[in-house]
Amino acid sequence: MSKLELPDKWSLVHTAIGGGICFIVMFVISDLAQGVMERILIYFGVIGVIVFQEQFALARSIVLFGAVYLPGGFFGGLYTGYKVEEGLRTILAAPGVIGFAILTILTYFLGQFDPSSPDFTYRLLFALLGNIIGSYLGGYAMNWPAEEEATEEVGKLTLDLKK
Amino acid sequence: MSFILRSLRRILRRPPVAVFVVLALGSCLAGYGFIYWILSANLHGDYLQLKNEYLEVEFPKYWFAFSWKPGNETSGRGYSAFFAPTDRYVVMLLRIYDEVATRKFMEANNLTDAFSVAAYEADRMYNWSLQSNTNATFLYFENGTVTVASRKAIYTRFAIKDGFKQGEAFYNLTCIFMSWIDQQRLFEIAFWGKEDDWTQTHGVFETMLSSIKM
Repeated sequence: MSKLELPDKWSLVHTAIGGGICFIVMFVISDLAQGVMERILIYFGVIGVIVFQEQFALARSIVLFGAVYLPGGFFGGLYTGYKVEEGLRTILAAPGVIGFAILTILTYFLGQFDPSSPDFTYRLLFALLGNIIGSYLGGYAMNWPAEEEATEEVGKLTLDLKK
Repeated sequence: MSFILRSLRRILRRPPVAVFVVLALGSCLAGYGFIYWILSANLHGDYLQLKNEYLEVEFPKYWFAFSWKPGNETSGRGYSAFFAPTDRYVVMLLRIYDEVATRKFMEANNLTDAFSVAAYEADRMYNWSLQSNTNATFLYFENGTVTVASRKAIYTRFAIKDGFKQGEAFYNLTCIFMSWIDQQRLFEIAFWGKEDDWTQTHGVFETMLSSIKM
C-alpha cells in the first residue's frame, strides 16, 4: 500500500496564496465582465433578452465561466505551479477551491447569496468547475514548458556545432 | 516586437495555456451563442415575446426588461414586469395580483374599485415627485376606459409639472395608469416618464398594450 505524503508547510502556504490570487482575480474581473456583457447587449440592441431569466442565467453563467472563473483559477494555479513543484496533481485543486470558498463566503456576507435566484445553482457549479479547471491549467502551464524549451535549445546547439 | 511575438508563441505552445485560451474563448462564444438562440426563439419582428402563466406581452428587444413575483402565501402572490428603454426616461410597469393580494391591497389602502386604484396610484406618483420638488404641480388630463386584453380597463392620464429632477434641471412627467379587476384579481398597467420621452415612445406603448393577453 502506498504511503500518502503530506505537502510541506511552504507548499500549503503557496497554495493558500494561490487561492487568494484566484479570489482577487475573480473579484476584480467579475463586475467588469458583467458590465461589459450588459454593454454588449445594449450595443447590439438586445438587452430585452434578460427578461427570460432562467435561460439568460444559464447563458450568463457560461460566459462568466470563461471570462471570470476560469481566469481566476488559472492565475491562482500559475502562482501555485510556479512555487510548488511536487504533488501538483493533488495540490492544484486547492487554489481553485479556496478561491471559490472565499468568493462564496464574501457573497454571503455582502447579502448577494440568494438561493432563490434562477442562476444560483449554475453560478455555484460553473464557479467551482471553472476555478478548479483553471487552477490545474495554470499550474501545469507553469511546469510544462521546461522539457519542450530544453529540447529546442538542444536543437539550436546541434546546429551551431555543425557550422 | 518580435520578442513579444516570440514569447507569446512560446507561451501559447504550452498545451495547458492553449487549452485555457480555447476554453475561455469557447465558453464566451457558447454563452453569446446561447443568448442569440434565446433571442431568436422569442423574437417577433423587432419585438420580443414574453409569455408565461400570468400574461403574454410583446416589447421592443432593445428595451431593458425584468420580471419578479412579489408576495407569499399569507400576503397573496403577484407578478410584476418592468420595461424601459435604455436611452430614454420612460417606464412601463405591469402588475397582476391574485385574489388574496388584491383583497389585502384594496383593504390596506381603502380602495373600492378599479378607478380608485388608478386614482390611488396617481396620488402615490405625485407624492413621490414631491420628494424631489416640493413645488411640483399635478395637472389632471382625463379619465376614461380602454380595452386591454379583451377587458375594459379604467385609465387616468395626468402630468406633473417639474415633477422630475435630472441633474439640476426639472422636467415634466407624463403618466397614464390603467387598472381593472377581473375574477377578483387586480391588474395594473402604468406608463410614465419625462414628457418628451413619453410622447416619443407612446406608439411603442400602444403596440405593447395591444399585444397583451392574459
